[in-house]
Amino acid sequence: MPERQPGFPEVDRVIHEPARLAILTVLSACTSADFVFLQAATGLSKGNLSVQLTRLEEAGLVNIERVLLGKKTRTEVELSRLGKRQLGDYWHTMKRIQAQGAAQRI
Amino acid sequence: MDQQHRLLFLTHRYYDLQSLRFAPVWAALLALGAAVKWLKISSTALGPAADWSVCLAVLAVEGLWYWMASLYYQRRFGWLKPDPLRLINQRRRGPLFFLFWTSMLAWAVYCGLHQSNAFFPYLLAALMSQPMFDAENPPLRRIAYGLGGLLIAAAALANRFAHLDGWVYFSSLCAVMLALGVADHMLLLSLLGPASEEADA
Repeated sequence: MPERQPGFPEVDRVIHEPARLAILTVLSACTSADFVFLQAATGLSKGNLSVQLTRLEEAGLVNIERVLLGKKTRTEVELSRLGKRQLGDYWHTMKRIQAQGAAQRI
Repeated sequence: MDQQHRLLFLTHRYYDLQSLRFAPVWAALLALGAAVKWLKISSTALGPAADWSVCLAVLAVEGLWYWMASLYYQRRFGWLKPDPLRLINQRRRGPLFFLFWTSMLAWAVYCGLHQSNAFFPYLLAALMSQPMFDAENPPLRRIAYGLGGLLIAAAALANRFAHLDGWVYFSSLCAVMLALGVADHMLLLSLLGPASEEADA
């Protein structure tokens, strides 16, 4: 849920959480990644990663697909179109806040 | 390297950092060089069939290792599908690398390396020193590959003028490439490691 602090632009709280931001950063740098890679890259526990991915999927930021590979299943995650746009907006907002902070220091 | 850059670099360079998958080529060439030097085995004595058998054996071992190492990396650290746009951007460095590789080729011919068995490993090593041109790489990795390339070129020059022992040339080339492969693997491990505490916090 976006939250507005006085004098600062809105920040998307779904993206702003560090674990979810780490997941989205990885996904923004590739077409798709599996659960194992996301876990290795972000260092999150299986349970935590699973919860964060569900949260991101509910928000429509990622698409999750389970692919059958013989007897095993691979969970593939990709950034949705909305996710790409929201993440771009998030970084734009962060830059604005940074610029605002720098201006206030001067 | 901050968290964001670490994650971006790791995702972009995940497969590049798996250069240890080529280790058997260098290990086999090192072993062959040692066999020629210490066991006095020469291909001229064994005939051309022996050359082909050795080549096929090295390729078979490399193929098997590559498959097994890829499986290991996939099971241990996961799988990802690279961004095609990024691959297109990488190809923009193509002309620079082509220029470098052509210079290395000309250098090998100048040093008379094209008439020796070390020509193919030399070209392969030159081809694999591509990371030195990638600005996204950490400076240490670029320096390591740059030094590796320099060492390979210097050894080729020494081979011509100081009539360096073929074994010394061969072993230095293979040792450099093996060391770079190990360094890449260590870099991959270090990039995966520190995330847990920061991301969980």
